[in-house]
Amino acid sequence: MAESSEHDVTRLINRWRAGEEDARVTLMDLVYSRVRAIAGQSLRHTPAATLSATELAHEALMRMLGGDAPWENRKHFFNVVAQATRQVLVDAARKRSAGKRGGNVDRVDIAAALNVSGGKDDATLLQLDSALTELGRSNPRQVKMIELVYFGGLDRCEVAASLGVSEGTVDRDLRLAKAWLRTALES
Amino acid sequence: MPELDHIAEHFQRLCGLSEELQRVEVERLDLQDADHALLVRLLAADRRDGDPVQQAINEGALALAPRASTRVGAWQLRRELGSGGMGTVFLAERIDGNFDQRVAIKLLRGFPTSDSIRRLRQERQILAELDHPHIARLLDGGETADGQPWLAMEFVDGLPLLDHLRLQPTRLRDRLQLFDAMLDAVEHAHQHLIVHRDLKPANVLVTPDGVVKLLDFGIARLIETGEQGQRSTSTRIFSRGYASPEQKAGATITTASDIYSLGVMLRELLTGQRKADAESPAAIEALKIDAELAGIIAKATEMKPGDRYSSASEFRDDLDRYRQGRPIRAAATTRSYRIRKFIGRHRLGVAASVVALAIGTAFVWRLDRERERALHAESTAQRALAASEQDAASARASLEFLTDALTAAAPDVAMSRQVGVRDLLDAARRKLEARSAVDGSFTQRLQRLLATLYAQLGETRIARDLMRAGLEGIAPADSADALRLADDYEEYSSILGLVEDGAGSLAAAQTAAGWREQFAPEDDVLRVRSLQTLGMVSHRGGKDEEAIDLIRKAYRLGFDKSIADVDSSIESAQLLASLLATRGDCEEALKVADGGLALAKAKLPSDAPSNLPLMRARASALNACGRPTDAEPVLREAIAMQERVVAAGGSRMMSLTNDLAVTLNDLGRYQEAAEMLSRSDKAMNEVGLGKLDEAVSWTNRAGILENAGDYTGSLGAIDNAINLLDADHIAADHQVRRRIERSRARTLGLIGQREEAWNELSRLRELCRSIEGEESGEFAMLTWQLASLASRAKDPARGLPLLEESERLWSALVPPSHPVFAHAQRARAEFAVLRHAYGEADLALAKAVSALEQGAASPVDLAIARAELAGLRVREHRPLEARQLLGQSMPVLRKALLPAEVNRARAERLAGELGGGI
Repeated sequence: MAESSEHDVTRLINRWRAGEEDARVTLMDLVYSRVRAIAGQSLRHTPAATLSATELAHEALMRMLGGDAPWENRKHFFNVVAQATRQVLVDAARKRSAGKRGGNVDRVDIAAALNVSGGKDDATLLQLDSALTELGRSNPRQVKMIELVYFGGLDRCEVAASLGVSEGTVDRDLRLAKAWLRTALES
Repeated sequence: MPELDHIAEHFQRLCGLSEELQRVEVERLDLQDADHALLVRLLAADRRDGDPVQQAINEGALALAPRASTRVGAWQLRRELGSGGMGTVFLAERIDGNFDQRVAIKLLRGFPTSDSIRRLRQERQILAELDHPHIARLLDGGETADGQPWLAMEFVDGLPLLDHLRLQPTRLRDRLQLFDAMLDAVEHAHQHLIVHRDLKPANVLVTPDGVVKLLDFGIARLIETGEQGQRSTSTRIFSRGYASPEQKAGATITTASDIYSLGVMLRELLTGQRKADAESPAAIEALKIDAELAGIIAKATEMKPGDRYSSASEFRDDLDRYRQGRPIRAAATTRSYRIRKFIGRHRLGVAASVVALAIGTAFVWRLDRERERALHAESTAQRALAASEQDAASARASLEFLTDALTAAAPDVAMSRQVGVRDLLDAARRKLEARSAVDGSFTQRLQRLLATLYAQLGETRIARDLMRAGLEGIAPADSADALRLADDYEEYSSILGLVEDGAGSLAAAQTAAGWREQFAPEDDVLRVRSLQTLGMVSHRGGKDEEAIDLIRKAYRLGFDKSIADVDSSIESAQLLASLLATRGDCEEALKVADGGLALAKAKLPSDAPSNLPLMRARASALNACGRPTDAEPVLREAIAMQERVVAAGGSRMMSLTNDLAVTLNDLGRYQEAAEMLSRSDKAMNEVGLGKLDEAVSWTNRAGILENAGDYTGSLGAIDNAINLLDADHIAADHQVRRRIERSRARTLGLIGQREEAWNELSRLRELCRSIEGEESGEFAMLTWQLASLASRAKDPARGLPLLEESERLWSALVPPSHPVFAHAQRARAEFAVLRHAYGEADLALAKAVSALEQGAASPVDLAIARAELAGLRVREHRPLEARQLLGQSMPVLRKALLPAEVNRARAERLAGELGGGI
């Protein structure tokens, strides 16, 4: 069995697929706390391990949904997990940057555990986050793709399947979005 | 807010051009200033190397987990090469200054326990043995100071397969050559019993010199090894799109899973598409593939592992054949496939009853349920090719014909999977009927082909008519033709057997055998096959004696001529052992099964699935010998092997779990037996069995319920079974029907309907005398059932002679240690008590108890015998001994049996009489 709540997760996904938006919100909260826990846990167990965003997402999937979940469920799950991973990383960076100012106390335990100070990297990540938010206002599909690829670890065909577009569209959208994000990061 | 939509189209069009062209083109566009500037900026950003997005995210993630050390073992990490589901990969160099050697170091995640680390070390040893020019070698490995495992692999400076093809558009021949190297590598690994498990283009690198290197052999397995202790759901690592159906379903992964992935990769490296029906634009230059190549890919990517190429070398052979313009074998029906199919169809010797002494089961190995097969255009093409594998031109004609028919069947969805196979066949048949008899031999060949397809769909009557027409007036043109026709006749025999035309089935099998004898008199393999077929026809006709003679001949021929075809010899051994066990010749059955197993051990890998039917035959023989304790581990081992090597479900699993249920029942472990039977039923539902097999399963359930004392449930289950037999028009003299009716009669006897039970058992016994003869196990069983019924009816006049007769019959069949003799002693004691001959009864029961104590039979049977002895002790006024015996028995009886079960009910009454809280 996956670690816990595998059943709950599946049920939430099904409800979400049936159109219940609050199920998606609950799922998001669940995944957020799980991704955060995974990040913290893996540190305690193997301090030298790097856990990339992609690995975090996959780890969350394995633990919450089990390795053999049907594609439809994985698809929905990855949607959420990609967002949650983005959230976790950005929150951690924000926390590090915020330094000792306190603030946002309920979501800080990773950063606290890490005891790393905010630096240039964090600034870039926060910049990326706002660029994504900005892009999302006009081009939500492109942002979704970026999230799925970079935070969810999906490959181009999985992204295509997940969003119901052709792989060609994924390639084109990604290329454009990446170029735009680059300009936003370098500005 | 970015206004990307205004310029997206221009960006897409221009981003592939050179910088200079871009500049020219941008100036020619009629754009507002802001859009113009944005487009220029975007194109400039697009041209730059690197991926700042990825970098920002990676650094964010790295900040979550700062790296403690950049040294691993004797290696210095230089830079990150990438990361994936299994960990992070670094480029590294030797610390001691040997800078020539660069390696890729993989830091694996998720190995929390020392046990998983230990298993990982063992696996690493195995992987280190892989030494092949097309496999990136495992060079070193260990654990970091923190206990995180790492692997050092040969560093390959190359491009992933698809990138290579994108940059260097190549022709078919060159691509097939790349694929050849991949097959070589996979073959080498499979010979070392290493399955890649995650074959995909990203794991294939091509160096600038064009050398192919496969990465990450067995790494997926390593990761799973590491995580076993951690979670019970394995975190399967595989890549969607390349993973085989069994992999996605979480079932057992075998070398066949790699073959599947290779098939998908072959399609992608030729067409740029992973699926036959995909329509997205290809990332690489797409080549057109013809029907034969499509057939090869279809064979490699069959849904069922057993239907794919059996090895990488077989796969390569077919590709070689294709390149040399010879007919491919993608569809050739192999000999053993045919035999298995034949046996499967004929549902031979289905598991019998679960009386205390199950005579054992036989050999239903329905490997494939063809009707389940998702046939689509490609496999139809394969079958068309199969129609005349030696004659490519004719095959093409068949193929065109079927393609026409397919289009006619459903023009809208032609060439898609949605066309029902049945629609296709019906259309083909109509078209064939409409076709003028210009080329009679072509029409007949098609008829034979269609007959085979219909037979696979279970439409046996249509199949019979088509095959009859297809064979009418046919005379072989030459010896090769005759041998092909012999195969068709064998198929015809099988079809006729299915429609219960025993005589016709025999005649067809004889024709097949005759032609083989005439045109290939030296071919012992063919002769063995004919004998096996004839034996099966006899068995199906209820003539087991004849069947045994024929199969015995096939078996001997295999050994005398030391035929190289191991499968054929093993097949004979398995069939013979099962038939002998069914007849009750347990010693000989055991010898034959062990002979087969020895042969398999000498000639095949220890995990070869061919072992399974032999193990099952061995277990049947052991059960027939009254040694369920020995049969149990054999079946458990077979089940484990089936799960490990083949698949967790399917027909074999159904048979094996059914046999184990029967064995557990014999051991008195009714609860476990019922659970095992549910498992068998689950597998049965997956397989989608025929009514006969379902009836057998109901009967087994009835037997277990009866043994536990649920007589109403038992009768209900039996009635279900009999209804199924009626619905399937199973004749009164059919072996399975008679056994099921015997079970029903026994249950009736237990609930007091003794007269009806007596009449029924007597009728069945007479029927058996004329069909199987007095020396058969079934006759002995019926005689014993009658004796047992008489003892319950307290009728020594009828019972004693039957008891003695049954003992005599059994001693010719089974060893003296068989529990049936202990039960006979129990019956003898009953009769003695009726005559007040307590001394005799005491002696008989003591014998029964001691035999059951020594034998490894059911503890429930022992408890019953002890309770009976306790009853006798009460009569003898030896209450202390009675109390002691009953004290031993009651806990066992109460645990295994329901209160209403006759033996428990009797023991409970006795316990009540004795009092004292037993």
